[in-house]
Amino acid sequence: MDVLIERDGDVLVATPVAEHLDLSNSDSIRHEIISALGDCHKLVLVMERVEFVDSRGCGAIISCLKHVSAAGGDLKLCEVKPAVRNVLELIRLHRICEILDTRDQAIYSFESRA
Amino acid sequence: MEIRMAALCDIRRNLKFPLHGVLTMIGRDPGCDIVVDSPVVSARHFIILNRKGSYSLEDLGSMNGTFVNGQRLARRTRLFTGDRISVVGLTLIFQVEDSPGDASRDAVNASSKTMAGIQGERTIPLSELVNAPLVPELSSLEVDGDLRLSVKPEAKLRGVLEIARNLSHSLDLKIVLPQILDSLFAIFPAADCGFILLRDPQTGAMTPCAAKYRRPHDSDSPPVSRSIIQQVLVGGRAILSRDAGVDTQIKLTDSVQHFDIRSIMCVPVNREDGDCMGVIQLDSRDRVNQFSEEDLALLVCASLLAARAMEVARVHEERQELEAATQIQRSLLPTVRPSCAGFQFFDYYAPAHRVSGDYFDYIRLPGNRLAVVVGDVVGKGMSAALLMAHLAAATRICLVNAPKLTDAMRQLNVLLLNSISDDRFITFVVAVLDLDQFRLTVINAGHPPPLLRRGSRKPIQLEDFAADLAGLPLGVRDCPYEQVETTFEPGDMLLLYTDGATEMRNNSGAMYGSERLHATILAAPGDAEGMVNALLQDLQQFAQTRLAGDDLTIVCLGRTCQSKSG
Repeated sequence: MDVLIERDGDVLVATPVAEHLDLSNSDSIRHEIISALGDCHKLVLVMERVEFVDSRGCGAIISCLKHVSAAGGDLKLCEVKPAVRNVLELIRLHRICEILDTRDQAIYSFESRA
Repeated sequence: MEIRMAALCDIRRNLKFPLHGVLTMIGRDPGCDIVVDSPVVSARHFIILNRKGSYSLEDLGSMNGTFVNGQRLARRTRLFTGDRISVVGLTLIFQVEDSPGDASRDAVNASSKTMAGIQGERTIPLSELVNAPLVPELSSLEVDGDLRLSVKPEAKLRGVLEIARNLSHSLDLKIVLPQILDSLFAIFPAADCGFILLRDPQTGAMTPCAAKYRRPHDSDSPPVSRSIIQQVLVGGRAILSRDAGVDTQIKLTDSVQHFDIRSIMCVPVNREDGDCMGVIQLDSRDRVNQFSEEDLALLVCASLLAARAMEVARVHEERQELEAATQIQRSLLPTVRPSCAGFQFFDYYAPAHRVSGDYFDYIRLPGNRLAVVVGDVVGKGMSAALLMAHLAAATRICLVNAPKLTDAMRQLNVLLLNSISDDRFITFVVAVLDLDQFRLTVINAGHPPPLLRRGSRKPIQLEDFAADLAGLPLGVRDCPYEQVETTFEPGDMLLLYTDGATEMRNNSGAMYGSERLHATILAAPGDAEGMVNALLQDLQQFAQTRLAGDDLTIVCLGRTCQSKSG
């Protein structure tokens, strides 16, 4: 298991457990999240444990984003470490994927829009 | 009070498992009351419930199902004494006795939990999976065993050994597959034709890859029965169907009837991880010497050897494919640098592995313009290389055909969106140089920003060009791209690079980083070749003994100082 999955109302909260999100675990993380999503299409990715993301890790995040967007949903990131944030910003991921400070803010951001 | 004692009996192995308590769980999981140590049995396969002496059975959504008297169970079913319960490869008879005395007579008592354990085996052997509930006729085959005139067991063993020996010599599937069939024909003299079908890794479809016929004229129309193969694939079991004309278990197809096949053996060819690579099928029209259960067990054994050989051959083929991919990739990359008066170009390309996800190109555009592109496909190896090949073609098409660069980028993105898998994307930067007007136009799609060194200014300035206006990488979603334009003065230079440079790590784990990159480029010589070499030298110095872990591409273009007249 690479991801901790919780539910908060109709929001799926996924927390990758490893300190890195890269070639070694991006595929399983992606699969675990997408299979946990089921009909749910509001996804919060809690990045509190992740210290390092490489391009495959970004690919996993993008893949989850594509998955929920296709169903009219959205993906929010939260608790993103500065080094990880730099990588996400380098590929402009923050433009299409809101990055919030806390997990609660991320979950609330779905409610406030609904 | 009457005590009713119920038990499950494995008649074949002469075992008896008394059913105690309200619930008896049967499955592969060691926590089950009766453990069936076989990979084809689900962890919790079925339960037997005892409600005051009335027993019922419920399948727990097992992969391969539970059958009672040949019927697959959909819901909880009441059990009666004598009922035949089958799961893959195993048949148990449900018995209820009025007196508990019988149970003590049996060879096995309740303390013996594991069936396979009693036999001293870890799993129920594959050969026993032959006795599948779908083909119940098989259990009666032993009766006419004497009638069969097949080769002697030693000859069969020799045949299997021959397969093993042959297979160890060749790495080419085109040779290996026919060899397997040759050996099988030697083992099974009754076989009239044989096929090996392999799953196409792309489409998943079963494709005939080798066929052999005892008589040459048979080959006009191969009697491949899809329904039998389907049954093998779905059940994952070997199937023997004797006298296909009357076998009700196998849905009759035209092909089977047309050829009046008397017996068919079809076995799955499984990878070590259990994935099914394909099937081997042998057909015989010999009405007397029909295939036996024993033959099927032997074919299963041969298929295990074949599977191993096929895997070795496939790995070898993939290696050759990789070689081919390397060749293709090399051919896609520019071999000569553009030669334009007043401009200079230099590049460096180093794949971390034999094939790379990095890409660069020089593309001549209408209106005396030249595009310099650098891209980085996520991932490494084969799939990245193939995507890179696709990117190379798509880039040329879009850039040459769309008059506006922003349109070209959007088109390119849409093209890639449709062909890229969900977890892939490409960071990409294009710099178009107008060779007449000395205008430089850059669009950045999630790529590290190119470095623009203004040699034309004093002091020399260096900036991350168009960093703020970079868009999303290609293949993420349809979005507009913004372009940034500037005049390219004499002495100006533009350096495009992949993150293999900035993210290069040394022995102590430190990253090269953009600060050091900036410092190096600022101090580098004012010609394209000199600048690239200065960067490479500094990267080398930084990395010390460590080899680059990532693909590295550097492209530099500059406007020479002397060409003021242009």
